[in-house]
Amino acid sequence: MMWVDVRLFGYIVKYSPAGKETFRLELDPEATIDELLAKIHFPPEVERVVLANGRQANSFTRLAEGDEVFIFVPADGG
Amino acid sequence: MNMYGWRGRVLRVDLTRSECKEENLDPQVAKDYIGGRGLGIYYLNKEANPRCDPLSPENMMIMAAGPLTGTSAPTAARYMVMTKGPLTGAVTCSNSGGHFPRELKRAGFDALIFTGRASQPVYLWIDKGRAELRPAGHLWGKNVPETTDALLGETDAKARVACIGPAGEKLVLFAAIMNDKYRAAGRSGVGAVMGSKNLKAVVVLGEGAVPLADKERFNEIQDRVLTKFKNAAKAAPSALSQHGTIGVMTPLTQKHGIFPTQNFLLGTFTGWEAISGQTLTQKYLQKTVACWACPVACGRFTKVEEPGFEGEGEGPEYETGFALGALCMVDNLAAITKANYLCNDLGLDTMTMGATIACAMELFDLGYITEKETGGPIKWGDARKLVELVKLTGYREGFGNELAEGSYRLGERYGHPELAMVSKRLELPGYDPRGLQGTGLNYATSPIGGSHCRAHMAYCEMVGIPKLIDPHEWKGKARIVKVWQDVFSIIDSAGLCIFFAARNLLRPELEILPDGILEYLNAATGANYTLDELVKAGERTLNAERMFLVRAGFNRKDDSLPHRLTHEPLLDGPAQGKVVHLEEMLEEYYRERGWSPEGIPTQSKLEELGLT
Repeated sequence: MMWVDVRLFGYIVKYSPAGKETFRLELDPEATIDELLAKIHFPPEVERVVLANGRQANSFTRLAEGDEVFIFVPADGG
Repeated sequence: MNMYGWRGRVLRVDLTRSECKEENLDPQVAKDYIGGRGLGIYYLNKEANPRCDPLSPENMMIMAAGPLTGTSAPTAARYMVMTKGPLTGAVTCSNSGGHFPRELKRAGFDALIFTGRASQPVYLWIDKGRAELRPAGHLWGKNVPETTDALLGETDAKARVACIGPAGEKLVLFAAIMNDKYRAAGRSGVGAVMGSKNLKAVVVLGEGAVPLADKERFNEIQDRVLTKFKNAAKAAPSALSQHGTIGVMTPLTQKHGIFPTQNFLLGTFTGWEAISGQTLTQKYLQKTVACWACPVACGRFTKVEEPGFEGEGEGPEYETGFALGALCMVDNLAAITKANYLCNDLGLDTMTMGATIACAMELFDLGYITEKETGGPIKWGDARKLVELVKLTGYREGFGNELAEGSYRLGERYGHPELAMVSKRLELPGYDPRGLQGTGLNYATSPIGGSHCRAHMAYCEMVGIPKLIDPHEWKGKARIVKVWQDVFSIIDSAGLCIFFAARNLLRPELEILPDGILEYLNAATGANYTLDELVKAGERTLNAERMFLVRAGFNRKDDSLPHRLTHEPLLDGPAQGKVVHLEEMLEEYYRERGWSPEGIPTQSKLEELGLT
């Protein structure tokens, strides 16, 4: 098993297991982003952007121990 | 002739002769240039001398609203100030929302054109279509809220005011024009142009609604767009409404490693959470504020009680938080907010203010300036110094007199202009382009200099609107920047806000098309634009602005970025090791535009757009 640090930004914080914006999550080694999302019951239809260590990640991006995952929904702004 | 959307009238104000004269707006010009920004460059190219001294009576200043401004179309609250900017020498596109622009339309005008210089301070009073110049000697020296309140007292409590503060009077090169107290046409020093003309304020009172060509059709579109927006907001509450631009953007730029820190030496800031919108909401937010017809309400009315930083007013927005915060290494949100209040009161652009202080901090750190010049240490992260320097700048006192010239002239004076983070001498926004290549190209080619609003490439390179693309790839970005710049000029010209339009009124493809704006424009004006005509109008404005620059003496070498961004790899964060591949992208960009390798529109391009 491995641990990753997850941060949910904006209203999607409701999918956080601990109800907090930042949390640690235990996953199988080399788990993908999709596996992470499934574990926190994040609805697949919700539009989102995922960064792993600051780099854009897709459904199949594999994670490693200690990775920082940042999930947000596209929003207007400037 | 009756016009719809457009009011069909332009007011000319000759300040030297103290005369106001109305004229009709040519319907074909209106259609070809849309309004706002497009109309501004049309008049500048026709009548202004691009080589004039921006602070001389020879310079023209235009305030122009779009055909949708003042209608109930979502975010139709914007107007544009176009002139030759004293900070840059380039054309300006200083855009602001609030309620003043709508009132201008209700008073029956699409644009106000100011020429000359008044012999004494004056203000323009427009009372439902009747215009007169009135003495403003008693207002000279007053700050923005004082001026606004005094003018509402002596004209009409329901009127709307755009004015300058002490910074505009003192010709601070990045003075803003403030409307409705807290909204700023901030960039390039348009407030100094107003000050140089001895014009303290414009006060407008209108009546009625902006006439629409096809009201029924307009309401149909309105129902559909707003219902869709509201349903989306129900499913996913808008982060922009909740925490403002400072809440949406700060975590994103920080996590991408492009949050400009310490005068662009770094791309991440350790103190980012302390100055984010979430912290602002918890500690200082009193209420959210919306411009006319805006369903988003990204404005923040805040109040600070910490000793030394007490005050209340609107702000800070993301760009302010980045410039007065991370760029100066200040992680004290009370100080940043206070500095923002002072900028609003004195009438200063918060972005150039922060960036100029950051430049001074680096000059001081490296020993290029000393306490002899500055009157005291100017150290990274000094929150109290930040607030003190803003005040000194607004009144041009002490070292503030040097900061008042902006970062480029400050750096140049002490032999280090390369420490000014500018393009065309305009300080760059809060997205380090080393981590967003297209954003870098847009900064370098934006007609006004370092601005993100001329094509907000961070939307597709970082936020995911309309979809995400690789931010580090430079190949193929030129095409996207060209298309986005043309369409963003349509948003500006129509009188809409990019925050709403980019997500809700454009076709959600990478090569965005303005379908939603087209519908609104046709229902409002009855001008029967085709999609092609509208896109062409956007491109026309970009090329007309470019011709103004060419005639003012700008060329390829001015489509530049600071050496730091093109040659010094970013030191930290996810974009570590990256530089901007500007030269490669520029070649592609000029080809996409149909410009010569020197960046000059070709004869055939000008003919195609009717600009010969």
